[in-house]
Amino acid sequence: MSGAGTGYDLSPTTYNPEGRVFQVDYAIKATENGGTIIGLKCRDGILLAGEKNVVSRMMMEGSNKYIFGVTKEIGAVITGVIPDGKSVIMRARQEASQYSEFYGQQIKPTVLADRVAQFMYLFTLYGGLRPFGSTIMLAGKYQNDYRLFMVDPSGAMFEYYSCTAGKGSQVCRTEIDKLRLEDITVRDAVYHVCRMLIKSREETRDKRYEIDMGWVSEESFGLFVPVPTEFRKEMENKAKEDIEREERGE
Amino acid sequence: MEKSATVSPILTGSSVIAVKYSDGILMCTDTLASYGSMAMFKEIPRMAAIGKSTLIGASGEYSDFQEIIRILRQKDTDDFIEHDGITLNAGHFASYISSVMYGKRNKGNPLYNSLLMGGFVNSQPYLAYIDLYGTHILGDYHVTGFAHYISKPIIAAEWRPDLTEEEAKILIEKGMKVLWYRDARASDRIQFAKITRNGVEFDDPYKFNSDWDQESFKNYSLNPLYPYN
Repeated sequence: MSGAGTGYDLSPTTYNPEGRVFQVDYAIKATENGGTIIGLKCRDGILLAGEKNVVSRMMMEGSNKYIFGVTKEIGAVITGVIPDGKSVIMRARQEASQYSEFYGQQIKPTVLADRVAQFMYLFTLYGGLRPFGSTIMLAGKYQNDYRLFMVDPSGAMFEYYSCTAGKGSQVCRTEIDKLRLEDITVRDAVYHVCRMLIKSREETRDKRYEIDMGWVSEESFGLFVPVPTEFRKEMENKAKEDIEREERGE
Repeated sequence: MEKSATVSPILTGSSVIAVKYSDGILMCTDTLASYGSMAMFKEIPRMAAIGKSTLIGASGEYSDFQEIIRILRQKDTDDFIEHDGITLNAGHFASYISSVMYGKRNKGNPLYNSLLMGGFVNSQPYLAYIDLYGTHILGDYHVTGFAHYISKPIIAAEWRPDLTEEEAKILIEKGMKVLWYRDARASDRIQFAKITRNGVEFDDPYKFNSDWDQESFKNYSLNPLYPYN
């Protein structure tokens, strides 16, 4: 089997004999090394969350977010190469505002996700461009229904009840499968997600990290907004204490 | 390169009146869009909300008003999705749109409107007059168009900073009635809207009563200066 570095990986315009495009695979690898991100479709809305390492004590808390609003009702979280993800978000915002200018209506989450996917796919076709090293999760409300999508660097887009990406995605995947999502609200989910994200950190717990969350739900009147910081911190601390207690075997 | 010259307005709204009162700003327009001298659309709104922060009313070209609403609502959305704890208020929108209007005026391609914008800036009620030239004036009460001549003297005589909503409504309705008597492009179906610290609220439009059998109208020919006796 042809492995890396055998000449088939120099450009997205080349297949290898097994039919893989290595540059796209490498871009997907970049997202697997990023901070864990989670999307959960709960009973009354969708929660998007992520965690990242904080490299230095000098960095201001709450700066450098990677949860973004795209329209008032649609939000996104990104992982992998963050500047790549940010530029996709900027494109998504443009698509959304042009759509509403042209059609006089808010863009549906399905249409926006498709536009984002097509945009990312474009960058896998030409030798002069490199694929985005970022996975994007989009969540939005449309006509009393909440929709969750994930797009990876190959431009593949799928709709989900729940999705994970990044370093801790496997651990979080197993934890999510234990939950009954139809029964919990986004407010309940904040606690569960904090637990998962903290548990999934492979490095020692001493490394500083920051959790970022946004939700679109009945509670937020169908708008995508950041989860209130005090509430999120409260749940984070509760999750941390609960995990430590379980580890001590109480 | 876009080339366009000023055209005269085609579908127009007449006056807007707005006053500061105890809870915020109260604004009123009639619900008429005129096609020259034809009263073409008699039940259209000439006021709009931009998010929760701003109430805007316009006279002049109706399509330009729709464009201004679209521009400002997009700005409001762009600000909201930043989620940075900062929100644009009526003063920001007023400064922005007046700069846009000044720039277009200098290129000979104006947005043919006079706008009144109300909201709160630094927790204080804010009311601005903005026109097609790019003029931007703040005040305790404002009017546009014909109402400068007809309604403003009435408002100016009785305005106080501590008007209740009822008192402000009565005062403005006085101004709207005289416009119906004297402005050939006005209508007797009016709508009130207010912006308070809780946001923007629109009242249902209604038709007010008017008396065309007044002695002074009927006996106009008894005026000693009437030239046709």
